[in-house]
Amino acid sequence: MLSATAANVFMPIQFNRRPRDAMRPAGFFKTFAIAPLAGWLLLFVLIPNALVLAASFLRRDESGFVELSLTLGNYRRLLDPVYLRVFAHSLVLACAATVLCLVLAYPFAYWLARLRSGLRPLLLTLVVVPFWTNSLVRVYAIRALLAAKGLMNNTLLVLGLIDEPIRLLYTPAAVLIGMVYVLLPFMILPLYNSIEKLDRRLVEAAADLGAGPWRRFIEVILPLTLPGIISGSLLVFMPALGLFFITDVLGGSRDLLLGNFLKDQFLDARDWPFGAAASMALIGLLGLFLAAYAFSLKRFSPGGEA
Amino acid sequence: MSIPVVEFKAIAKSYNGLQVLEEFYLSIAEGEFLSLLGPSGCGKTTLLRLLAGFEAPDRGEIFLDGVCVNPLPPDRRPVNTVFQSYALFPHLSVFDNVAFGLKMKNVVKAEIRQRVGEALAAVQLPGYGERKPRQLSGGQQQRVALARALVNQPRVLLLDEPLSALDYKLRRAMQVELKALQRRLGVTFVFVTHDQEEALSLSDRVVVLREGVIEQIGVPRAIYEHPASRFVAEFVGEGNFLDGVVSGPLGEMSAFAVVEGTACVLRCAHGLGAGTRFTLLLRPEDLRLVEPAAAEARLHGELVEKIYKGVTLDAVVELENGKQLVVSAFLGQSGFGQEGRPGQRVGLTWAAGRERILL
Repeated sequence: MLSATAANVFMPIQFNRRPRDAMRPAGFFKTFAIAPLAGWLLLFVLIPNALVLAASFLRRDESGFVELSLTLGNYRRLLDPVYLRVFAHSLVLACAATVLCLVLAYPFAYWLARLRSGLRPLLLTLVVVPFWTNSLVRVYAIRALLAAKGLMNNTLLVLGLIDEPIRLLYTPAAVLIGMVYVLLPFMILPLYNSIEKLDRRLVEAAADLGAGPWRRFIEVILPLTLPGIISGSLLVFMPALGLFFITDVLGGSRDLLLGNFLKDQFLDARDWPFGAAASMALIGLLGLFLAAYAFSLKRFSPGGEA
Repeated sequence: MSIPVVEFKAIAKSYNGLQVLEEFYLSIAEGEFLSLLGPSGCGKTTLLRLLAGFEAPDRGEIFLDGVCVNPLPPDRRPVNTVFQSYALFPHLSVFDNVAFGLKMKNVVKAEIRQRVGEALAAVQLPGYGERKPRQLSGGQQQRVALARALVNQPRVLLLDEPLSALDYKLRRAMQVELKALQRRLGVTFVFVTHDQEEALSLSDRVVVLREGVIEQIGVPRAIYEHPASRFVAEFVGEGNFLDGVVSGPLGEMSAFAVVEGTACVLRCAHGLGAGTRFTLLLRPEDLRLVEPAAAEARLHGELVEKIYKGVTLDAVVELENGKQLVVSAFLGQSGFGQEGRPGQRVGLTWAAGRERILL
């Protein structure tokens, strides 16, 4: 795809007259365009990850770095119930955030994709606008909203709906709210994309064949927008497992999540090998989810490959 | 006549301020194959969508078996649609596509299996149940769409230009099948098309629509041979349109007239007063080339071009006032036109009574 486009842009005449000769410059362009990216990924993604992988099999040095002797002890330590509970807790919270995002985003994305007015581009822009501000800053804003003497409690008190402030900040609920808030656009956009592509006539055909609104949704709309649901869920679920600053800012330090745990091992406990082993476990877990995603795309996508 | 299956009563419908239908009336009889024929934008698809329940009329009522179905959503109307694009569910197998309607009605599994099997056999696709729609050709998808609709035994089957995506050969084959299927099942078909040939060859009755108004309703032969207006005559089949004016009556049925500057005697001109302007329709196959000096020659002109069309040989004749007419003759038919050369002077004639006077 890339090479064909490049050839069209840079050498349309040669390309048309002598396709065989034109292939060489196009191939050169491809190499030229991809090489820096490949180099970048190798240098800053593959090598560091390889180092982390290596570190996870080493022992901790007294000075707080690594000692060059092999062990599987770090992985064995991960099986300790204390750490397994951190994993479980993180998984539950990430699942909850994903489900909540899905439930909130689906009706909105559906409505947005079916909207016929010129409002649609504006609303889509609004979905993306939060990306313009650093998410850490926005999480602090949420904190201000949820605080005991924050905007939400004050409003509710003034309205007389509650007698004393609701304690939300530093609870798992606050962490959940923060995650949903930060990750919601990642759910909306893929959903919007797949719902917009859904052929309206298929929904009409289902109605024509006697399916009421609920069965139309279950039998036709849901299965055909499943690729969007799955990719949106992954885009929410994976960061939700690793995000640490939301827990730091909104959850206090009582609920340890995977992201915080990793950060703590590297920066506070300075146990690099153990942190590395935990990272590898997380990467392995995410790899599993990605594999499931790839499988589900092949299984559920109507077009077969797209 | 018993109660019509479908009745449109005083239907009005507009989209974005554009009036598509206004005061529209139409009755459809039990078991008939009715075509809605017209150019795009004439409201034929809108009628189908109103009947299926995808659109609600602004005013007026739609009756199915004498019951007003206006308040019923599409899923509760006993009609089924074959969509132009087929709209097969891409995530379901052929079997599940055809079984969809029965599943929605909670028909028991064994009966679904049997009825889907019969429906697939009826459209000549037995054994295709396991495939996905994308693995089928256009014609096969068309049949699945037909089976998916018919398996529900609808009171009326609505077909929205179902053959328009097929190539010519396949299209002709499907037309024959469709007609045979309709005869065998006796289901009322409402068929939307812009293809006049398709409408004529399939239908029991044709409704010619123009901008939401019925120009003519009739059996195919009446539509073709006795078009009610110039619009119908132009839309259905080929035609030569000549301008004329009545000079005076001749008996009860005929009249003297001047057609394209030449004096003629016309039949089927009952009750036209002198001075009435009209358009004369002559189908290419009704015209015949003759010797210019022959007594039967009614118009004269110059042979401009001959077009070989396989079955017919068409001749283009230019009249003295510059008007061009098309004359078509079957090859092998003996006649003056077959060996004529461009540039030659020719006479034109037609069997008395084949002309149509359009006002």
